[in-house]
Formats: sequence, structure tokens, C-alpha cells
Amino acid sequence: MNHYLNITRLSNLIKREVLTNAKAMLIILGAISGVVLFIFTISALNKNTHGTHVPLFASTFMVTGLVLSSLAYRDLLNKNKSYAYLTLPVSNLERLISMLFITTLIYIITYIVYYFLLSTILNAFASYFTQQDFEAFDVADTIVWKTIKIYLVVQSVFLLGAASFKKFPLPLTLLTLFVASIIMVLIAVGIMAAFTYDMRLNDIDFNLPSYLDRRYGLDFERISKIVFWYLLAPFCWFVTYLKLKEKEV
Amino acid sequence: MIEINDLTFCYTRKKTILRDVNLNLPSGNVYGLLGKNGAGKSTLLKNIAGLLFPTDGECKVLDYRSKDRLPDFLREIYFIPEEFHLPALSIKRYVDIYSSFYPRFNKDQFSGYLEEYQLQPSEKLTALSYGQKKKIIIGFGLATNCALLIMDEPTNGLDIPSKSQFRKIVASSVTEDRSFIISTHQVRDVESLIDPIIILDEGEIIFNQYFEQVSKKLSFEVTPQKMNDDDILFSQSILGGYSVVMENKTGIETEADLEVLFNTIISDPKRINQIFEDTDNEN
Repeated sequence: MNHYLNITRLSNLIKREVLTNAKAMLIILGAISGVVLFIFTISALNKNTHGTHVPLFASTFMVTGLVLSSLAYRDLLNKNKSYAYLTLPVSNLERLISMLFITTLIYIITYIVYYFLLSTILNAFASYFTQQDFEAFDVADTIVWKTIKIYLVVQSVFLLGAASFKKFPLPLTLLTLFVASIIMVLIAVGIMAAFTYDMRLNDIDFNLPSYLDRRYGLDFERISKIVFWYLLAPFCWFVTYLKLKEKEV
Repeated sequence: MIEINDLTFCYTRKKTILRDVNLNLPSGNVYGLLGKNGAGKSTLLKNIAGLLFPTDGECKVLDYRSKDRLPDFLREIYFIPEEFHLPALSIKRYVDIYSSFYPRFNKDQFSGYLEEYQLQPSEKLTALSYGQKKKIIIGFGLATNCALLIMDEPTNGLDIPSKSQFRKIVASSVTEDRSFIISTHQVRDVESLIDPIIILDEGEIIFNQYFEQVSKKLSFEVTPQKMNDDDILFSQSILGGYSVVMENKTGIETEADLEVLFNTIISDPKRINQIFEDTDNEN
């Protein structure tokens, strides 16, 4: 196991990633603070004292996290940086786990704390200037945790993009997702058309999920949920590991 | 320590960079890897370091397959490319972060190099000149005390005093269980340092010999006039005469000039290797 996972090496790697990228992370947080400040100010000027923070947190959390995940392996985007990164005495599994750790656990905790502090300061300023009470950011809100759950799955796709694309990982990942969605829709429409051919001829109403359930005992919705919540992320992490393993300069 | 068997490397199907390279390099030497531009030197070094994977054949360092890039292998090699990146950290911070990956890293040794280079640990790496950065990365590589230090054009960007410092610190770092591979075009900078000499041409190893053997088998002379003799392997015009290389038939050893040696081998590798093989067979 020492060849693949060693806690000391892993913690050294996480320390290296955090310390060498701290400046970039602070710049991203600074930019996000600007966006949050802008949207919150507009909302406060419109006297929206409630329901601002949770959607604002959810959207900025998701966007920032996916940008961060896309840039996780940015050392591999630059030839000179990739020499140092790939010859660093750590395993590929540690390269994967370190980035997973940073883009999930560290990021989630940091962002929640950061947003909580930012929202508290913004509320205090807004209350001072408008003489109204603004609703505090509720960390326990179900939308907050649902967003985090979705992020944990979606970030795996962006992490895979970060390890796969040699240039522009964020736009290329988005483009790939777009193309993959179109292909999936076309396949679904094709299947649907094939199944419904006879039925359409006979003018019978057709519903693919209920047809699959009736005919083959396949619960389409359940399968989709299992694939999304339990299979997609581990699959992407595994492929990310393979991509790191086969990475050359 | 390094075992390369039938290594072939292609970037594309049509372009073969290395062809059936076989090398067996024991530890305790400073190998000089020489070759013309595009001969495949950097590609070979990257294959050894596990940064590129062989298309065919294999490359092993300390019995580890380079392409596996296992941590135990990576902690025993340090690769200094010609162009490199150093993060926006102070020298001290850089050492604190990166030295933890190398179990035999010696901070006192590194501090000694900093003193020699007249650099302060508090200095920001990004504020240093290219030459100063190069000194830092070379000093760091030496202080890792890893088994194999690979340097691609290490003297590029170093000023004249720094080149002497470089030779001094590398020479003092050689031990029986440690090796260096220096790839360079600046043969004068490392002439006194490298032994044996490996010459790569058009993706193939055309020469791999120790200086001792070179001096025994080849004779280097300077003549005032151009000589036309069948024994002359190579001759080139220099200031005040001609530098001539001949087969050493007298047994009197002359000092080998690395640049002239390189040109001699490149001009007719078959004939030179024949001389070395003939003498090997005689022995």
C-alpha cells in the first residue's frame, strides 16, 4: 500500500497544493466577494430582506467550486510546471485524493465559513444603512445541503475534465457536457421512436419509462438516481486516476 | 542503476525520436549525454525520469520501471529540465514545502549552497533572475541526496563564476551510490566533470566510453599544417593550426578535447567504434 497511499506523503502534498495555490484561491474568493456584494446590494436596495442568502450561496458555491475543480490540475496545463508536478515523489492515487480532498472537504468547509462571515458583515452594513433587519444565512437550510450533495457529484466530472484536457479545461468540460447531453437526448429520442413506431401507427399513447417498467421491470427514475448519486462520481474519479497515471509531459 | 532495453520512442508513427536504445549505466558516475540538436537527448532524459513513456522497450532505474512513477522511484531521482518553473514563494518556504518529499534532504547542505551563491533564504523565487533560479533548483536537487540527478543543459544561463561553482559543487557531491546525467551542448562547461561520455545521434547511441578508454585509443594533437594521412580520423582548423584526432598506436596518452572528440565521433561513428571494438577484442 505504501506505493499507492501514504498519509505523510498525502498530507505533504495537500500542504504543497494549498500553500502554492493560496494566492490564486484568495483571488477567486475576492472575485466572488465582489459578485456577492453586487447582487446583495441590488437585493437590499429593492428591500428584499429575506430569502437572498441561500440562493446566492448555492449559485456562487456551485460556480466557484466547479471553477476550482476545473483548475485542480492546472500544473499539468503548463509544460514547465508539469515536470515538477509529475516527478514529485507521490503516487497517482495521492494526486487524486489530494485534489478530491481540497475541492470537496476543504472547499466546502472554507466556503461555508467564508459565506457565513461575508453574509453577517453584509447584513450588518445593510441593516445600518436601511434600518431594517436582514435574514441571516441559514447553514442548515435544506437547499444548502442539497446544493452541496449535487456539487459533490458534478465536481467529479470537472475534476475529470481537469485531468483530461491539455488546455482550457473549464470551457472544454462544459462543451463536452453539452455535446454528451445532445447525444443522450438523440439516443433517447431514437429509442423512443423505435419503440413507439407501432403504437404511433395504432395511435396509442406511449410513455417510455412506464413501458420499460411494465415490459422489463426497469424503474427508469430509480436507475437514473442510482447512476447520478452513486455511480457517476466514483466512475469519474476512477477515470481521473487512470488519466493521471498515463499523463506524460 | 539505469537499465534501458530496446527503448524506442515516437511522438507520432512517422517520427521516431529514439530507436532501440540500449544502455546500462552503473552508479557513481557523472554521465555526459551529448548530441546535436534534435538528437533525442531530452526525450531520453524524460523517459528515464518517467515523464515520457517508451513506445517500445523499457527503462528501469534502481529496478523500478520509470513509467510506473512509483513514489519510491521518484524520491530517488531529481530532474532539472532546461526550462523550469518555480512557484511564487520565498526560498525558505519553498524548501520547507518541497524538502519533505525527499527523505535524505539535507537543509544544512542547501544552506551551504545558498551561501556560496550569495542568496538569502528570505528572497522571493519569482524575483530572482533565470540564472539565480537555476542555481536554486540545482542546489535543491543536490541537497535531496537522491540516487540520480538528471540535468538538462544545467549551465545555460549561469554566469562565468557560477559555472565554476557548479562544477565544484557537483564534483563534491559525487559518491559511489549516486549518479548524475548531464545533457549539454556547452561541452567546455562540463568537460572536467563528465565521465563517461554518451553520444546520441539521430535517436541512437553511437558512443559510450570512459575518458580513460578515449585517451588510450585516440590521440589528440595540434599540428601547424593540415595533414593528409589515412590514420587521421578527424581534423579541424583552429587558431594557429589544426586539431587532429588519430588512432593511438603509440600508447602515449594525450589529453582528450571533448569538443573535438564529439565532432570526430559524429563525423564517422562507425570507424571510431571499430577502433574501440578492435581494442576491446584484443583485450
